[in-house]
Amino acid sequence: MSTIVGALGITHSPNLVRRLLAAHRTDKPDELRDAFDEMRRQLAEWHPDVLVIIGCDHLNQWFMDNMAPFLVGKPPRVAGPSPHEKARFGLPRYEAPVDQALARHLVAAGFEQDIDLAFSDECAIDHSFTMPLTFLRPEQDVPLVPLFVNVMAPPLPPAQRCVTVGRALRAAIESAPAPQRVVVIGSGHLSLEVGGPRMRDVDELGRYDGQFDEEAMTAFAEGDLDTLLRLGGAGRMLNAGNVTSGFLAFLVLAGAVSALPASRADCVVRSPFLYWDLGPAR
Amino acid sequence: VSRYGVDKALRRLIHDAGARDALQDHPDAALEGCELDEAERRALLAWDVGTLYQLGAHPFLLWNAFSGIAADREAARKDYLAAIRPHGYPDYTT
Repeated sequence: MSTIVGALGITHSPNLVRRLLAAHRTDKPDELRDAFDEMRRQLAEWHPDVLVIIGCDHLNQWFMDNMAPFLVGKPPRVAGPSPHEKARFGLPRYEAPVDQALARHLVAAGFEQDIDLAFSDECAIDHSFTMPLTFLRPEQDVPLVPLFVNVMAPPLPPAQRCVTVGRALRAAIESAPAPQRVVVIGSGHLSLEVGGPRMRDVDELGRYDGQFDEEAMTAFAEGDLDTLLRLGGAGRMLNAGNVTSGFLAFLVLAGAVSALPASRADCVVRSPFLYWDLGPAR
Repeated sequence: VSRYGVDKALRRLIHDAGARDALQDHPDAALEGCELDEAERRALLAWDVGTLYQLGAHPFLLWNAFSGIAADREAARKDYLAAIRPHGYPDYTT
């Protein structure tokens, strides 16, 4: 039986990469680097055997020729991002093994719960995975199971479906035969606009929709699933920005942690930092 | 209107430098396999982002493709926003 010992929810904004890489080369104070470092230490303290990471693909790989709402990556190893993202965002390469046994189990156990997860034995990870992992686990040594959520190409999976899949994910992990310590990571964001008419139209804190962001963080802190589901409604997300749908990864995460109140839920430089301390310490 | 064809072309232009370079001189090769009507094809070749946006091109792809060919990304952002703003939020479901 595997155990979820902790969970993290974190930004994957590629626009933060150059700042973070530069901050790591100096001792100068940087609140964003420090926030990532705290999460990195927290993750290390959980001594994870595997990271189940919930993210997306930004139409780099999965496309409308064959779009799965939820897909488990299970090649022997995964790497990324693409040359385009490396050049544009200054993202370094990240490569890690995949826990294929757990990946297979998640798909099989999903069926038992009426959840159909697609899978791929040949896939890459884009900045949604590599950006947070670069700063959370720079050693690139812990096996991953990537779960891709279609947050890009409508029709998108609705909020409630994301939570349901998250709950199924938790049950599947807990029924996995190997006695492993699992950390679930949700990689997403709050209000955001890219390629729409409000791009860069942000408030004094750099937020597209401060109310959305604040309500989301409060709801995570309180374990208020009703509010999270309301925020994850298609209309509410569009009001907050045209690609706020990246928030759906956090709803899968909310399901995976049974909507428990987060041990930490706040924003640093408008970026969400969430964690749940869930299991027995080693 | 073939939103899928436009999105497929935009994705190719983001990732494939060869297709980007060939777009003007060899558009048939650059856009091979992308089903486009005449208006979409014209708009793509002219980088008419306002028209592409209005026709329902995926905004994330459109912005990434357009800014990817720009020498000055800030200037590109201003041009892009000026072109798309009149069109609000068109449906881009394929």
